[in-house]
Amino acid sequence: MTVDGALLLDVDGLTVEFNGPNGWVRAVEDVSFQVHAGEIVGLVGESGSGKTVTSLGVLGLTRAQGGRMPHGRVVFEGTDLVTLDDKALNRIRGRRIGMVFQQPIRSLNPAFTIGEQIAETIRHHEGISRSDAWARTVTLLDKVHIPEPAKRARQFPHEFSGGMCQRAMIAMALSCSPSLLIADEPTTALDVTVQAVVLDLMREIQAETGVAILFISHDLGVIADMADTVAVMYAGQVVERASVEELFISPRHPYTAGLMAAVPRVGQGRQLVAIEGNVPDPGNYPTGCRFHNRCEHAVAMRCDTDLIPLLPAGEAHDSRCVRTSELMLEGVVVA
Amino acid sequence: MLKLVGRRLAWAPLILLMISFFVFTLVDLAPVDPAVAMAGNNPDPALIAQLRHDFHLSDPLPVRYVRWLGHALHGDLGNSYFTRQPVGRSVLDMLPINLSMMLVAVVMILVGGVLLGVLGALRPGKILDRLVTAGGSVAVAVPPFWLGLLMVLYLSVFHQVFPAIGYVKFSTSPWEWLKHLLMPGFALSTLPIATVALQLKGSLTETLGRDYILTARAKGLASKTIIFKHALRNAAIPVLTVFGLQVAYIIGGSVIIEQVFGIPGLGSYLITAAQAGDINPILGVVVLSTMVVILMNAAVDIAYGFLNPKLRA
Repeated sequence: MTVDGALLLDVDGLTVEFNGPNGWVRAVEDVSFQVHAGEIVGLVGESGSGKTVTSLGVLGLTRAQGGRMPHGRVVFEGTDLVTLDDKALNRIRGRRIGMVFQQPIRSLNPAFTIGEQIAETIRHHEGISRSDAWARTVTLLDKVHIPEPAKRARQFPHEFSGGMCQRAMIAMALSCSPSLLIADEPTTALDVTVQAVVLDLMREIQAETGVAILFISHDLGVIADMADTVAVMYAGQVVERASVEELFISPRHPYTAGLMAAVPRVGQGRQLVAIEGNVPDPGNYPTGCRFHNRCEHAVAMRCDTDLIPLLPAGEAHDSRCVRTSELMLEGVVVA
Repeated sequence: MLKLVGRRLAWAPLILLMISFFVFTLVDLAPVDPAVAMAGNNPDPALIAQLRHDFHLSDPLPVRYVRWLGHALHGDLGNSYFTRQPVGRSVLDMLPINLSMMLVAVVMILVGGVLLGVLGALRPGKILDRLVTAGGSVAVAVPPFWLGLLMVLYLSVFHQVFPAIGYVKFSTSPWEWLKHLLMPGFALSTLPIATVALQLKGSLTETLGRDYILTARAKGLASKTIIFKHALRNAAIPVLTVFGLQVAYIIGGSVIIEQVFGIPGLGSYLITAAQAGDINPILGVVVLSTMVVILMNAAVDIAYGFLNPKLRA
C-alpha cells in the first residue's frame, strides 16, 4: 500500500500537560507524526505510553480533562487546531474528524436510542430535518452491517452487543463524512472473533469512503494488519516512525525490537522475551533516553544524559536512539 | 414499567388500612378524652357520660375502628366531634391550600436544586463547588420554622415585601396567591433544595466523567447540550429517589410552616383535632396525605422509567 494523498494532519511537537498535586505533569512530549489523505497511520505502544492522550490532544479534548498544550501544532486541513477555541473546534469534532473509542458500550449514552445519538450528530453539524437525519442514520447503520437497521435504530445501547455498539460508534463517527477517523483501541474490548469482523469493517469503509484513519492500538499484530505507516510511542514520546513494512522488517529502536520479540510466533520454537520493568509514570521519566534503564543496549554517559531527538534512520524512517546506526536489531517479517 | 407501577398501586389499600388502624390506636392511647373536651369547663359528669354514649366512645377499640372503616369505605369520613362538620368536606376544602404550598415548594426544589447542583458540578474542587457544598451543609441544618420566623421579621415586619400571614385563593388573585406562598414555600424547600443540590452535584460530577460524555464532546456538541441533555438525564436517576423522599418531607413539614405563616390548611386542622382527641379529622388528614405520598411514589416510579430505558419494557 503506497500513499500519495495530500497531507491531512500534521502533528508537530505536540506536548500535553496535566495539572497534578505536584504541579504540571507532561504526559505527552514532542510528539510528531503525519497522516495523509486516505492513509491508515498506526500509533502503537504499551498502556501509559501516551497514545490516548495524543489522540485526545489532536481534537483538543484534553482541555475538558484539565490538560493544556504548551507546545506544538496540530495542523489539520490547513488549520492549527491548538490555536482554536472550543467553539471553533466543535465545528471540526464529529464533522471533519470522527472518533471511535475503546469501550463501545460505555461510549454510548444509555438514556438515548442508538438512532437518536447518530441523528443528533448529523443534525448538529448539518442542520437538516429530523426525518432526513433519521433516514441517513438508518442507511449508516445498514452500511456498518447492522441487521434490520430501521428497527435497531430505535433500540438502546443495552440492547446491543459490544460488537454491535462499536459498529454503531463507527457509523456515528462517519455520519458527517469526515476526512479523518481517530480509532482509539477500537477492538481491544471485543472478543477476538468480533475483533476481526470490526477490523474488516473498518478496512471496508476505508476503501469505500477513502477516509484516513489514525489507528491506535497496543497490539502489534493488529497494527501490522491495518496500518500503512506506524509511529511507536514510549513514555509520552514517539520513539520510532516508519512505513509498516520497514518497521517490521528492520526496526531501528531497541524498544520497537523489544516489542516484536515479545510477540508469540508460530513455528519458530523461540522463547518469548519480555521487556524488563514497566513504563515509567509521567513526571518520573528518566533523564536522557526514557527507555535507557530498560534497554539492553544502553550505554552509560551516552543514553542517560541528554534529551534525544528523533534521528533519521533511513528512508522515511526515524528513531529516537543515539545508537541507531550501531545496532543490528531483529524484526518480525523474514524477507 | 406500567406493570411495576400497577403492582405498587395494588398495595395502596393495604397500606391505607394499616396506617389508619395504627393512627386510630395511637389516638386512643393519647391521654385526651374527647368527651371531657366536648363537655367544656366545669363539666357535669352526667353530660360526659351522655356524650360518651352518644358518640359510642365506650365501645372497644376494634368495634370503633371497624365502624369507622365501614363508613370510610362508603366515602364517609365522619364528622368532627366539635364543629360537627363532615371531615371529607373540610379536608377537600383545605386540600388546594396545601397543594398550592407543595406546588410552590416543589418548583423551588426543582429549580434551585438543579441549578445549584449543576453549578457545583461544573468545576469540581473550585470555588462554586465548595460554595454549594458549604451552603448545602448549612441549609440542611437550619430549622424551617426558624427560617420562616426570620423571613417574617425581615421581609414582612422590617421591610414590607411579603404579607406575614394568611392565604389568598388562586381564583381570587393569582399574584396575591403567589405572594402569600413564596415565604412558606421557601421555608419548606430550603432543606430539600440543599439535599437535592448536593446529591445532584455528586451524581453529575460522576456522570461527567463517563465515557459517553467524552463521545458527546468528540461529536462536537456544545457544553450546554452535553450537560443538560446527555449528563443531566443520567445524573437525575439517583437524585429522583431523594426528591421523592423530600416531597414526603414537605407534607410533614407544612404542618409547622402553616402555623408560622397562619395558613388555614390541613396542618392547622390536624393540630386542632389532635389537641382534642378529635379522631375523625385526624384520620381524614392522615388518609389523604398517605394517598398523596402513594401517588407521589407512583409518579417517581414512572419518572424512573422515563429516565432509564432499561426499566421500561
